[in-house]
Amino acid sequence: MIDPASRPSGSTPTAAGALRAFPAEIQDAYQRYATQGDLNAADTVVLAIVMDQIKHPSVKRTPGPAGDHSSLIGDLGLDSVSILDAVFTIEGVFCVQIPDTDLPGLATIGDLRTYLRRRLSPPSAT
Amino acid sequence: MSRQALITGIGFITPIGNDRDAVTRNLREGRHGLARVEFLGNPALPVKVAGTVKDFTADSPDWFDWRYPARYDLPKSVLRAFSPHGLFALCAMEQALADANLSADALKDGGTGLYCASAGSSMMLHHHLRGLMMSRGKRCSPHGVNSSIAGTLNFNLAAHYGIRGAVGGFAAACASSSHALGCALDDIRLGRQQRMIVAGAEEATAESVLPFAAMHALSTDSDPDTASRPFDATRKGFVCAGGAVVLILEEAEFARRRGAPVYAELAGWGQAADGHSVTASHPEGLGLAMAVERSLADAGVQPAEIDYINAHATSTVAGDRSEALALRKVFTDAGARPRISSTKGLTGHSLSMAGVMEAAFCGLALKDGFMPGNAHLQTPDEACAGLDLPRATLDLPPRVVLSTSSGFGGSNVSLILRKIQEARH
Repeated sequence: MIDPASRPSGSTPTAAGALRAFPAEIQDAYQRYATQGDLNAADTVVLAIVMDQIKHPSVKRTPGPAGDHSSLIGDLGLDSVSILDAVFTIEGVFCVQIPDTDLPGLATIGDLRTYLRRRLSPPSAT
Repeated sequence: MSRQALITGIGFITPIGNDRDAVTRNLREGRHGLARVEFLGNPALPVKVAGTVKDFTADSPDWFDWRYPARYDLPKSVLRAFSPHGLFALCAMEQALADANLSADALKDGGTGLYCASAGSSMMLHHHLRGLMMSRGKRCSPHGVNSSIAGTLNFNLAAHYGIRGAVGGFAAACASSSHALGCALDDIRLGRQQRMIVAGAEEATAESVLPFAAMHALSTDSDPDTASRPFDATRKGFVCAGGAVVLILEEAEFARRRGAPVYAELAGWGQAADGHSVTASHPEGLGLAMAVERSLADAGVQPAEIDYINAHATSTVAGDRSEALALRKVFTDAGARPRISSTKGLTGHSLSMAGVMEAAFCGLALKDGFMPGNAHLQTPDEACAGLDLPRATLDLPPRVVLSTSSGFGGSNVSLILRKIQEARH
């Protein structure tokens, strides 16, 4: 579910456009999120967007599959611009705006997923 | 004692070919690489011809849309931060390294430097700034700056190849890559670097080309066979072109020790400015004449020893005339009569890239033993009186050649290349 209040103003690329360079299974995952609100599918897309930034598999990468525990800098070897580029892509795909002040709290893939789920979930009724 | 600098490798992504053999063949046979284009889907635009790069599609701001020959294995981590002319430069770099028998690892020890020349990518800058403006300043790609501005080539190529020597960029418009070569030569002669790589690249997109039409600098001739005709009395402006050329210079003893293949020596250079106008050359080419004289003195060469001159001449009315007068002053008045041609009749004018591309053509001419002719020249301008302007390529081996480039603000650079006796493998 997309929080309309978080949709950034101005022109943004469509999700389909932003994910054109990704494999079909990632584009399919996005569709499951967009049509069914499947947040697990959104998690899959987030991981793919982050992993796409890794410059070379051998650079500073902790062995083993990446997951919630993986730190963007220490385990995955991303630099500041790569992290910003991943965030920029996530913003474009999910139509959210992530304030700069929230970035320090997004150190791992799990942090990103949790943050995005919170932003994408509708406010609970009181 | 000053060290000697040798050209050991060249990579070509140009309107007249994307490899050394194709470029050599088209220079020899006088085959141009100009084509009809329609910018912005607007048939009403007067600019209808450009020097295009074949076998590449790179007119989108999104790297995923780019298409390039399968022989190049390019990591997307590099492409995502590049502009189209960066793509061209990356491919030319890979070619140049292979041509010089160099592995990429050889560039990382601090003995190699990199000087680059481009005006940046107007298309990428426009794309990123448009997104920024439409979001009222909130949203811009983090690659907006480094993919777009002048310097994008040196930022990205130096990082990708791990180059730790002298790295910088030159912004003198159409003289830029000649400046880069001259300063690279000095770095080698002064013992600062063993190897210098010089890259020049540009894009012939609407954003890069059409502002020149607003200056009335471009040819509006719609026939690619005649649109670019340097020195011709009926010339009406230049034809923009894009691509990339990378040229590798190495200190001579260092090159010989590793058994490097050699094209020629880059023997000297000189520069001087016109002090006259932002956009127009000095009416008598005084700055260019001084640059040429300084290059001759630097190389220890007399005017009569120059066999061939690759002229800057872009097919503009004023610029070609200024250059003709400058060359008459330095050569004709000294009793010398070198063959002179502008290869922009074949390639169009590739702006920042022109200097290194034409120096590379001189390297081919010295190695293969020919002098390119003046394509599309029918009636030379009267200012060319006394100059030897062969129409067709001459199958005569030059020994010492000179290449000129001139840019906005009146920058003028002259480079001298000399044949050496080592044979290329």
